[in-house]
Amino acid sequence: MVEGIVWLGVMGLTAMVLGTLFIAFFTSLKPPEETISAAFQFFPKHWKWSNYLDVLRGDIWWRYYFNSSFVTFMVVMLSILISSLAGFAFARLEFKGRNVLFILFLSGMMLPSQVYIIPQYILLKSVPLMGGNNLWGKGGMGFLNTYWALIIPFLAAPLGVFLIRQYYMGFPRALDEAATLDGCKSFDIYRYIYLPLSKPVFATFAILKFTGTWNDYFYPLIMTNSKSMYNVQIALQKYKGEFGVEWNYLMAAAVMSILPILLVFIFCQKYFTQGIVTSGLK
Amino acid sequence: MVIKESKIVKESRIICDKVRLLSDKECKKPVKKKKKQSVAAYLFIAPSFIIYLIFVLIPVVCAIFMSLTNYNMSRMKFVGFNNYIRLLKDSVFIRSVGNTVVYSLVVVGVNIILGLVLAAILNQVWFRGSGFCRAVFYVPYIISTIAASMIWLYMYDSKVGVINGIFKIFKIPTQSWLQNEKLALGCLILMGIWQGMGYCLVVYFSALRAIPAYLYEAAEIDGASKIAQFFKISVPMLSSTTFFLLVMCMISSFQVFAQIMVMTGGGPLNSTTMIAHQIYVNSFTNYSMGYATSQAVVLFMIILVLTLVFFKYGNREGDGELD
Repeated sequence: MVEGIVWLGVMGLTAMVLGTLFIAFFTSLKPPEETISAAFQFFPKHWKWSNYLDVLRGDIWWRYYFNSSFVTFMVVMLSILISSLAGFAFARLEFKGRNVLFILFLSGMMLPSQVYIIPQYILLKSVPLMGGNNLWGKGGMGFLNTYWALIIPFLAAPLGVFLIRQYYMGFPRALDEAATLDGCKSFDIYRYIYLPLSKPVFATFAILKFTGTWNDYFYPLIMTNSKSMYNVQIALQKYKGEFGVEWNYLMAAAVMSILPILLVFIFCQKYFTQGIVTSGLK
Repeated sequence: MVIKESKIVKESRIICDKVRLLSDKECKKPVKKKKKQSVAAYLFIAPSFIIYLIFVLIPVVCAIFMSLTNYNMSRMKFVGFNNYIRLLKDSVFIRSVGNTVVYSLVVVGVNIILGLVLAAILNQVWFRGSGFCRAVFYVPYIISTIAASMIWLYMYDSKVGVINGIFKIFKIPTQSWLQNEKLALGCLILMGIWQGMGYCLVVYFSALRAIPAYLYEAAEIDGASKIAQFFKISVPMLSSTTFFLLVMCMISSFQVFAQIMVMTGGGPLNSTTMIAHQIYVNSFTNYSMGYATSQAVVLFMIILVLTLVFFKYGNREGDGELD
């Protein structure tokens, strides 16, 4: 009896959360006159799938999607590569200053980006000889408004280094020793033993990085200012400014921006949960 | 079979002896090897570290210096602690700190309690559809804040919004949610709960799974009710998870920004402005970057102090844990 009531309560809450998501979806399929009628209706009376086409035609969305996809892809791939190199060194190699360097890395996970974003902005603006700058970094825009600015700063990923280090620490040391006896250098050990075995941790980290980069708004808002460099999030926010209260279009644009994340979530749910659990409980 | 196995054992023993001999040889020249390894290690770390140094560590140091100047994109003059003195007198900034603290306390508190209770319920054997519920609660956490803000903007809209629409059906007086100075912050809080609950839920859920079942079995035999088990076993066993969640959720909720930009712009009458929003407005609308950086340093200090407090307190709690 009690169990039944509790079950109903939790299911009710679930339905409310699911409801908010479905409201967005169904609103995106309504014709405009249904969205401005004051009486609330959950389902559209006339299903207007062409809203999506209208949104796509109304702006250079293909460009925004390309920007987001390209930046996300590059950030994920390159940051996995360089984080796993660092993670391997922190997990397995002996060197001076290992702990100090590692703590420096970890402290980055706690720093709010608001602290360093202004100097970062100035730094990227004054890259010498780029974007119309002279040798002393004056006169032009530097790396601002380029893919460089959106990719390079995100390649150093403290979270990734941490996750991958933790994962590699779990490997039996006998593996390294055996490889050393066979004459392997550190890089060979990494390349032939650790790299092929790190698929799960790479998947976990890739998903965290993918959602983080795809959903990022604050950083690209500051570093880009031309329409051709907007990512999907900024485009969505500007779209609201331009088209104001056309809710059906706004919701269609929002649903489309969520879709890639949702697809990855549905197909890789295991790694999603693993990501927050491993980064959390160790 | 037995003979075969013993053969393997013998062989492996021989191999082990060989390995030992070899490794003894290796040990005779340890210094050279270590040096070589550490050069390699620095090369491994270099790509990550150089980028991290240039784009995070150096900018942080610059920011601390910049907060002592009146930099505004064209000129820079050292002004000592004037920015920090100005902060204390800036009523809008003080309002933003207050808003941020209220927002964070409510959102983090509710999310942690709700996440824990839901996780405990969803972890029960009799609960059907636990995986489905977890997936649904988790979706708001992974979608972008901008998209979520669009959805909630529609929910809260005063003319055609969903909440007012439902209110009308039940003949409850409608509100202009985001335009009302008294309600706007509450609206953002509700959205924050909607967004963050799934995260706490999933983290708690997997932590609950790690609690050994025999504890519950023993309690069952002693006749403890489910509720007693929850308070006497689950809650204490999850204390380190709770502290972890407190730290993570506090860090992220103190930086709340995107929904304010999209939904309220800090208004009405600064009732929803937050620290991160003030930093943005001061640096990229008013271009008083020096002043904005001093606000950012204050934000960092708040987060740092909270984290240290939580860690100290959290570690002490963790000592009593079973292993």
